Amino acid sequence: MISVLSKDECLEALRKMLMIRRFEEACIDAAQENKVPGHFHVYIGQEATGVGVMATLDPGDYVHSTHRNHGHLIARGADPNKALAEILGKAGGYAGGKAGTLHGCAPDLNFPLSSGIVAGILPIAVGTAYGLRVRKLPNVSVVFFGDGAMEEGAAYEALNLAALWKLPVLFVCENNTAEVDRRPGGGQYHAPNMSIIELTDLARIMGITTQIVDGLDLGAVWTAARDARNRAVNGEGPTFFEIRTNTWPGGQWPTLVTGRTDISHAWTNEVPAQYEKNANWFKRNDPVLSVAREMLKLGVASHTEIEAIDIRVRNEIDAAVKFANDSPFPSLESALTDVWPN
Amino acid sequence: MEHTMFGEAKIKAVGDLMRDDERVVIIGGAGFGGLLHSQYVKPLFEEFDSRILRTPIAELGFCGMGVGAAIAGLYPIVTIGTGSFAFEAWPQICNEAPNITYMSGGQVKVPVMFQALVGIRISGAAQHSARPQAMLMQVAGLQVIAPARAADVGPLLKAARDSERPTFWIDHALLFEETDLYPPAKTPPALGKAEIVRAGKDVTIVGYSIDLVRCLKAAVELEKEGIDAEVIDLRTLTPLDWETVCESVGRTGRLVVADECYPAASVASEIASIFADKGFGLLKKPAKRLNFPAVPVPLSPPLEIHLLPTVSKIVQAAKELVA
Ligand SMILES: Cc1ncc(C[n+]2csc(CCOP(=O)(O)OP(=O)(O)O)c2C)c(N)n1
Ligand SMILES: [Mg+2]
Repeated sequence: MISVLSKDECLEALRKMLMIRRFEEACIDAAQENKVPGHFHVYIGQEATGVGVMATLDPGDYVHSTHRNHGHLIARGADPNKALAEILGKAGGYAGGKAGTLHGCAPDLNFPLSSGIVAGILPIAVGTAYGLRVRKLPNVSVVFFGDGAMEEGAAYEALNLAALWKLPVLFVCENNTAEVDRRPGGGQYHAPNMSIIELTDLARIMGITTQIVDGLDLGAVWTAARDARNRAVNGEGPTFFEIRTNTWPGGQWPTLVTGRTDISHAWTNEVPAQYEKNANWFKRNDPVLSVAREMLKLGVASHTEIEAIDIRVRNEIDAAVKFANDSPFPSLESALTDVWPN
Repeated sequence: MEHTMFGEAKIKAVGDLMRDDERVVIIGGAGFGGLLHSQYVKPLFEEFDSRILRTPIAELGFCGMGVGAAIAGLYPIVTIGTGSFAFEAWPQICNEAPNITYMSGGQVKVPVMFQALVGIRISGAAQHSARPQAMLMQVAGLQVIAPARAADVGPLLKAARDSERPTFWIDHALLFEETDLYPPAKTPPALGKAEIVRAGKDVTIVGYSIDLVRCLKAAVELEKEGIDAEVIDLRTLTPLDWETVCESVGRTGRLVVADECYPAASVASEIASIFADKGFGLLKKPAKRLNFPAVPVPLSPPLEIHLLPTVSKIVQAAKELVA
């Protein structure tokens, strides 16, 4: 329930969620125009997780992500201009076009890298947590990863290391596998090949505090992350979350199969005829609509206020699109720089 | 003239081997080719559904399973997918599989084939573009095969199986849709034998896998400019056929090697080293090695292409040597 948040916190969270949504829509548009180099992954459907967790963090905390990092960057407060330019491989990007979609980073926000290797990021997060511990800093490391990461050996080693030394890590496993596929040996891209069903079981037997959280429930994500962060900085060790979201039907080759989000669906509750096939997305599964509805229901905001936020966000993303398009490709000489620290 | 796509030849070859020998199984379940090529792989995977183990994202585990299954009498083809993911399984590929025959005094065989789609795939960025082949040449007891031509695929696959050696088969992400520019050799390829794909007298150009395709295209360009290039396809990297390269350079006196690996301890440097040793004195000009510079692979396409050993760079290098 978002009632755990103040009005301002609610409005800010919705703004960030919309920002992610519009950012991803812009990426899909750009891909349609063949402007996105490489295969990319969007955060649509998972917005409440990144935004909810990030709202509890301190600037000194580390944030780590994977191939699906766009939403984490935006939720952390990254500049959408630089983030989008990076995805297009432009000089104005966070890494001057060297990283692209898979390796989004915003080092100035303690978001040093995203690993494109499934589970590759987990041990690194344990390491940044160790760095914080040794330097006696009152901070945590947060690592976002998909359910697929639990299939890799690196994940077990990382959990064990963090548990062994009670390191301040928040393991945020975003399970975007549809509920019907959440069974052993599904074997598809979006179905885990695990012999267990409850991913939290693995961390729990290592003595790590675990919690399953509904990825549509911004308030629940926020509360869980806040508590975990407090425990971590108090030396009580890591927490493992399985955040359950539903798979956005836009799929592996992102396409706007549910259209461009129309925030007014939050109060009209209409499912446009052409999207009837994905009616559940509009009625239940879209976190942006769902959080907006909750805000309306609790009287946190009126629909004119919500609309105003959306307009502001759209203007900002339009500007980011312009910035990214106008940014030149990096100079050829720059290909050879940045291998070593300057 | 052979017009089969490399990828189709690959799928046919795997199918033939599986039909011929029921001990052949696939572990991993990544297709042969990129995500866009799954339509070609589908019939094969349907035909042999029960002999394909579709694994979790667990490269270390399933490559190790391949080693064990080989010891227990199967011939596993372990499909790793993107070449960079082989690093996740490095301990099994480099430190278990290749040592077992030696560690058992020759008694235990490990007939396993690891396969991956390596290389600069355009926009794979730093973590999906590895060319692990030169590193794998540092592994004693591991055979490394890196063909470029559709006609070679079937015979090399079968020869690798018959050799019963642990083998790493290098497929390139951009090779799938390539077709041969030159007719196949009259005799089937042998493991450890390079092939002179195009005979020429002015300069020897050496490549393998996707770089061979670039070398052949360069030879066509050079011909227009009156330069007669001899092009050699290494085909296997371990064992490496230094004799064929030496013999060719003995005639041309000039050497260009195209190799997507980084410059140090690369395929190209290994070829060039022949002429500091067995082929000493054969070069009339310094060898030209075209590698990908020692930089992580950038995402931005203009940067990535700038760093590649492209056709025009090969042409340029050959012209400089012949001038
Ligand atoms: C070591 C490794 N193996 C395979 C891949 C290819 N790959 C990229 S994303 C992905 C699926 C990941 O699923 P999950 O972790 O659940 O993340 P999601 O995409 O669902 O967010 C795979 C197999 C990879 N990037 N790294
Ligand atoms: Mg997933």
